[in-house]
Amino acid sequence: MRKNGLNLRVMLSLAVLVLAAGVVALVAIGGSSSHAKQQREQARTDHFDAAGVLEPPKPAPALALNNSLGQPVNIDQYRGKAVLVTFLYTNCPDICPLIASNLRVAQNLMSASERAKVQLIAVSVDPKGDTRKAVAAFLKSHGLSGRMQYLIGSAKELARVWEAWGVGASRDAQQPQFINHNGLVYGITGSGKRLTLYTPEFKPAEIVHDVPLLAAR
Amino acid sequence: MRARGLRALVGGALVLGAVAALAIFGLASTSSPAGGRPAPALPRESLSGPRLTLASLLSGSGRRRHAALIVFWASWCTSCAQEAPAIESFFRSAEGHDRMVGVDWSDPETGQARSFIRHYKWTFPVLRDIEGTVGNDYGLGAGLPDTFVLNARGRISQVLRGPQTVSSLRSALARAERS
Repeated sequence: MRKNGLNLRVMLSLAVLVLAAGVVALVAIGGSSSHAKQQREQARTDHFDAAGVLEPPKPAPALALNNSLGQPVNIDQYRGKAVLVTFLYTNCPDICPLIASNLRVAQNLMSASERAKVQLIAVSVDPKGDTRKAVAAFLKSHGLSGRMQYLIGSAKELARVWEAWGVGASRDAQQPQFINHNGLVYGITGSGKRLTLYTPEFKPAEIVHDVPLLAAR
Repeated sequence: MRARGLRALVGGALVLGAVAALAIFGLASTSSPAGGRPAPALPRESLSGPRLTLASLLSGSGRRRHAALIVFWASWCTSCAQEAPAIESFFRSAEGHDRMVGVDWSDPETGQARSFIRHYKWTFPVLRDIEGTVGNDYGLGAGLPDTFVLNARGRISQVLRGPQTVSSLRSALARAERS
C-alpha cells in the first residue's frame, strides 16, 4: 500500500514536471510574436542547400571595379539574377582553382534558363599578380571566359572592397608567393542582398539548387 | 545588435570555412568510406590511351573481375602534380598494372592536360571529364586529387583524398580486393 502511494506521488510529480516543461517550451517557441516571426523567417530559409544563411539578409556591400578586359562592372547591374561572389587570385595553388572549377561545373549542371539567372563574380585578392593577362589565362584554363567576371584593381581599390565584404587578404608570412584569404562564396539575391554562404568545398549541386531561390528573392 | 548578429554569423561562416579548408588540405593521406555505392559510369572521351568503361577497367586483360582505382586529377592542380610520379610508379608495378584509370576533371585546356601527361610520362589510360559532371556524380568537390577505390563488384569501397603514395594505393587496392 505504501509502495503504491509512493508510486502515485512519483507519477504525479513526473506529470507536473512534464506539464511545466511543456508550458515553458510553448512559451519559448510561440509565446512572443518576435519569436514566431523569426521562426517563419527560418522556415523560409531552411530549404537552401548553402552551408550558411544570413538572416535577415542585408544589402550586399558595394562592388564596382573593372574586369580583366578593362570594362567597368557593378554588382548592381545584375539585379534580378543570383550573383555568386568569391575572392580569388590566379597564382593560388589550391582552393581558388577548385572554387572556380566547381562554379563552372555548377553552371554546366544548370538548364539554359537557370544559367541565365546567375552571374559569377570573382574579386582579386592579389592586385600585383592578377594582371589582365594572368586573369585571361586563368579564366581560359578553367573554361570561364565570358562566364565569370574577374574583377581587378589597384591595391587601394581592392582593399576597399575586401574591407566592405569582410575578406581578409594578406601575404603568407612563410610563403610570400601565397595569399591568405577566405574561400567563401557569397550568394546574393536578385534584390541585391547577401543571403547565403558556401564553404570552399561546396558541392556544385548546392549552387544549382539555390540559384533559382536566390534569384527569386 | 543586428550588426553584431550579422558579424557573428559571418564570423561563424569564416570559422566554418577554416574548418572546411582544414578538411580539404589537412587530410592529405587519409581515406574515408563511401558507403559501397555502385560506381557511376566513366567519361566517354579518352585523353590518353584506350577508352575504358567500368566493365573493361574491372576485368582488365583477364576474365576474372578485380578491384581497381579511378584517379581524378587536373592539370591546374598542384597537389596532382605532387602525386603524379607515384601513380605512374604504381601503375608500372605488378599490383597496379591494368588496375587504374585517370580522369582529367574540369580541365578545358586539352593542351595543358596533354603536356601534364607527357611531363610525368604517364602510361596508364586517362579519360576526360571536360564538363566535370562525372566527377560530380562521383562526389568530388572537396579537392583534387581524389582516388576512388572500386571493389570487384564495381562498388566504391573507399575514397582516398589528396595525394597518394605507391604504398597507400597498394594497401587500398588490396583492401578492396578482399571486400
